[in-house]
Order: sequence, then C-alpha cells, then structure tokens
Amino acid sequence: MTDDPNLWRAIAGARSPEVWIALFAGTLYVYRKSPHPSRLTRGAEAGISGMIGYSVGPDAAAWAGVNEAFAVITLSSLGYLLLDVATSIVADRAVLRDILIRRLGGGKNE
Amino acid sequence: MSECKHLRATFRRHLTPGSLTLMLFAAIIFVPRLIDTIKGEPWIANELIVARNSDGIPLVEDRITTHATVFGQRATFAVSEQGTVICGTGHTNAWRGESKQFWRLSAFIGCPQPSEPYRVCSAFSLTSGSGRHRTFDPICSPLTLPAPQRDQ
Repeated sequence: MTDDPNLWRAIAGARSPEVWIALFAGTLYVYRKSPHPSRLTRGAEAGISGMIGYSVGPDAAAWAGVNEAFAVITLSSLGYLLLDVATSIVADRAVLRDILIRRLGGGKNE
Repeated sequence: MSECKHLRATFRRHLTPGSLTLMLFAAIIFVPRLIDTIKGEPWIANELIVARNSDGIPLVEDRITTHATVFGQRATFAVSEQGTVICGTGHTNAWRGESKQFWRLSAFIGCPQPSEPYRVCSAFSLTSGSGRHRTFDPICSPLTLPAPQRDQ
C-alpha cells in the first residue's frame, strides 16, 4: 500500500471539493490564530488540525447526522484547541492532582 | 501556591471571540447527538406474529419495546412471499416501554386478508425527546398462509 503510486490521488479523491474547502478554511484559521512566531510551528499546528478533520470528519458527521463539511470545518478549526487543552492537562497533572487531593479532604502531613 | 500555568496559558490563548464562536458552532452540531447518546437515541424493537383467535379470525400480535419515549409515524403493510407490497396503512403515535397489542388484520394492514401467503410488516420513522430523527427498516412477521375464514 505504501508503494501505491495513486495513494495521494486516492487521498485527494476521498473527499468532495466542499469538504476540502472546509478543511482548508479550518486549518487556515488555526494557522492565523497560532501565537507562535515560527511559521513552521504554526504550519505544524494547522497540519495537525487538518489531519484530525480529514480523518475523523466523516465518522463525526455520520455520528452527529450532519453534513460532512460542517463536521470537518468544526474539527479542523477546533482540533488543535482540544489537543492543546489535553496537553496542558497532562503538563499540569501534578498540580491538578494536588488540587484534587485537597478538594477531596486529603493532604500532605506538613 | 502552585498554579496550573500551562492550562491558564492555554485558556488565555483560546478564549477569544473567534474560538468561542466556533465552540458554540460545535456545540450546536454535536451536543444534540451527545444528549441522545447519553439519554438513548430513538430506538424501537418490534415483533410481529400473525395468529388466529378462537373464531379463526386472523389477529396481529404486536410487541413493541423502547428505551425512552419516542414519537413518530409507523407504516404497516402486507407483503407477498416475493416481497411485493399488497396493501398498507399508517398512523402517528408515541411509544414508551414495553407493550403488547392485538390488532385485527384488516386494521393493521388496511385491507382484508390477502388471498396469497403474506407477511405483515411495520416501518418506523421516529423522533426522540431531544429532536433526533431516525428511520427504521421494515420489521416483518414470519410468512403466514391465509386463514380459510376471511377477516371482518
């Protein structure tokens, strides 16, 4: 499959023009909104969002019962936001664990 | 005191009018379906059997089960052994929980008993409490031979 010369054509043909335009709009939004000064980092963020939209879009559209373009533009513009929030939660996990322990009545013996 | 600096920075970065508009848009698209998943989307199970009463009159035993209240349209019809629709009718109703009901055959399919072997079928087009819509494929009884005595 990796040697398939028509792989890119198959990828391009697997989505309709309106879905590609929605995907482009979503990734452009992420690129424009990214706070990073580096174009490469902004492009990577936009790319990740676009790939989330491309891969998950049809299933999300079928699940929600909406037009695929709607699902793709939403996922591609918000995909990176969701990943960003998840990454931040992981980065702050120690602090969040302390807060949870305090809220649940536990704590360190100081 | 320690603070969630990464989360704080992420929220500051993303809580912009543009992102909030997009989140609202996403909520409009996905939340109704999520509510349906949590509450149970329109779902119905139906079992149909054609039986005869003590007078030999054919009756349709109609068992329906749902998880939550659903409402919508039901088409009921008779098909031949080959799958050709012989006659049919329909009604609008709401269903909840389990129910078992006997119908006169003519009331169920909208015509007298067919003269050839037949199945009785029903197809639902339902809406859940949160407004989700779903159409179900026809559910049919086993093949039934016409009773010698005709339905009234």
